[in-house]
Amino acid sequence: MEHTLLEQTEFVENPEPRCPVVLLLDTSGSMKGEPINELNAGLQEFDRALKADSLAALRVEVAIVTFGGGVRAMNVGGSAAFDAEQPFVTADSFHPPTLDASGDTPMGEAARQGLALLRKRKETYKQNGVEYYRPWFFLLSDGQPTDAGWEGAASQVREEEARKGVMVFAVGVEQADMGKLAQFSGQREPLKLKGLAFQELFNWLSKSLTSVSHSNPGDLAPLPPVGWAAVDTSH
Amino acid sequence: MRDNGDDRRLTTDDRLRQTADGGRITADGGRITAREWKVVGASVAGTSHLRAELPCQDAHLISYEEGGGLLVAVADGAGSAPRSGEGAHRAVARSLAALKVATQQPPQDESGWREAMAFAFAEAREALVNLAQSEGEPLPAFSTTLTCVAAVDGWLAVGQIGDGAVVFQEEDGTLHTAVQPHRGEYANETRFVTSPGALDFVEVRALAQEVRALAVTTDGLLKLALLMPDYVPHPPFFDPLLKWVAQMESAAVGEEELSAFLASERVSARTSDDKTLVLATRRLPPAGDGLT
Repeated sequence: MEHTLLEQTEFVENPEPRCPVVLLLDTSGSMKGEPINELNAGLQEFDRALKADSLAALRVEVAIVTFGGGVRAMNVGGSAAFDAEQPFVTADSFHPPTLDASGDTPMGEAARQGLALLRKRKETYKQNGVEYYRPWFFLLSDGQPTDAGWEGAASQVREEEARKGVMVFAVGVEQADMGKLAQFSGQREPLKLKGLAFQELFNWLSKSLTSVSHSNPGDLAPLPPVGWAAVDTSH
Repeated sequence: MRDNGDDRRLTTDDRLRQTADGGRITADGGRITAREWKVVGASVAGTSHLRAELPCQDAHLISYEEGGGLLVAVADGAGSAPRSGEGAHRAVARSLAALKVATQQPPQDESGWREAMAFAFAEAREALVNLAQSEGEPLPAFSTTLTCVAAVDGWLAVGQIGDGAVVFQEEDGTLHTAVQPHRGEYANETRFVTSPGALDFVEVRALAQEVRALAVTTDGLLKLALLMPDYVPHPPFFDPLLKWVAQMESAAVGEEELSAFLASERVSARTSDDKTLVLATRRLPPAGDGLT
């Protein structure tokens, strides 16, 4: 009798809490060839690893903004209808794009757009009563910003980070100017990618987001060890 | 797991004996002051804690004494704090001991209940401060939420720091959330008894009303039981549980069955966190006893 009643309990279908991440990816001319190919393979790995966790697949929301000759929010939902103002999709409906490389490196403008997208996404969550985790701002470049005013964009990102509005990760590839990348975060040094280990990098990123998206109030979401970074020999 | 501290004066068997004669009314100056409660509680480790080889960091404590009303405390130790399970146990033990003292002469107005709850939370925090000092640990090592409930003498009073939930059922069967769980901006943030200035943030609600049933829970069950974002109780969740506790034959068996329910696949598929549930329901007076 008792068992029957306990089994009769029905649960509320609340929306899953969301963990938004914007990937700001350098697609300037210097990424041409092997680097862009490896980056594309890295995005495939990101897709595979996120979908491997059923909860992360429902909770992690991905947007990609590229900067190479211009700044562009990518359609990563695989559907014809695309709103560049709301380019986020949950991982379960993520379609990794195949990126091409060309042009200069408007990193500042990309950072500004990425930040705006995250802020807007949070507003949408609030309006819809959806809980969310701190958004991730993930910046990857093999060079340095070529747009005037990038310093202003970098300081906006640092301020948002200081307000706990965003988690910032910057990764430099090959000849990247690590000093300039460092200006996008006041809390975390940029890391240098070991060779073109994009697949390791994106595997780590998906595991980190999976960990965060599983965390409960009061939990520390431990990030997996970084195996993809080059040893820093600048000191 | 169940708290085994010195403050747990009543065993499950004691509670059972007290409820076994059923539906007895105690009158005070011709006014009903207490009816019998049936009460059961369980705290169960979540799957994420089992995976990380963490113990259950939730704790609960129930005190039900003849004429003294029902007192319940539940606490949820922070997963990130190494000794938060101890903090949770200490917090429920000390807050309930304080509430027993404060309700020996039950408050008769809202401000009296606010004082009683403020006292219970101050005592709980003090206990954690002392524990941290004697153990040579920083206070946040014992981070825990705390929810206290007193159903005494025609009052329902609730105090809370953090994101537990208290749902009560009125005589007409409707369900209400007594206080809103506190969440930070982000889904993995809340406030703890050990947080800076925490005592300024005790949410208190005191209602001059008899309730028919109560459910007290830590945040592990929030998403299953309450409709976000306003934390509206979900009757298809609570109604069967409250019916079940009303029919429960013994608290010992009830505790086992409730633990099994909380640990079941069906629940674990929806929450990886530790989960605590305390259920209490009044026995209705037998018909024809002259009460209206």
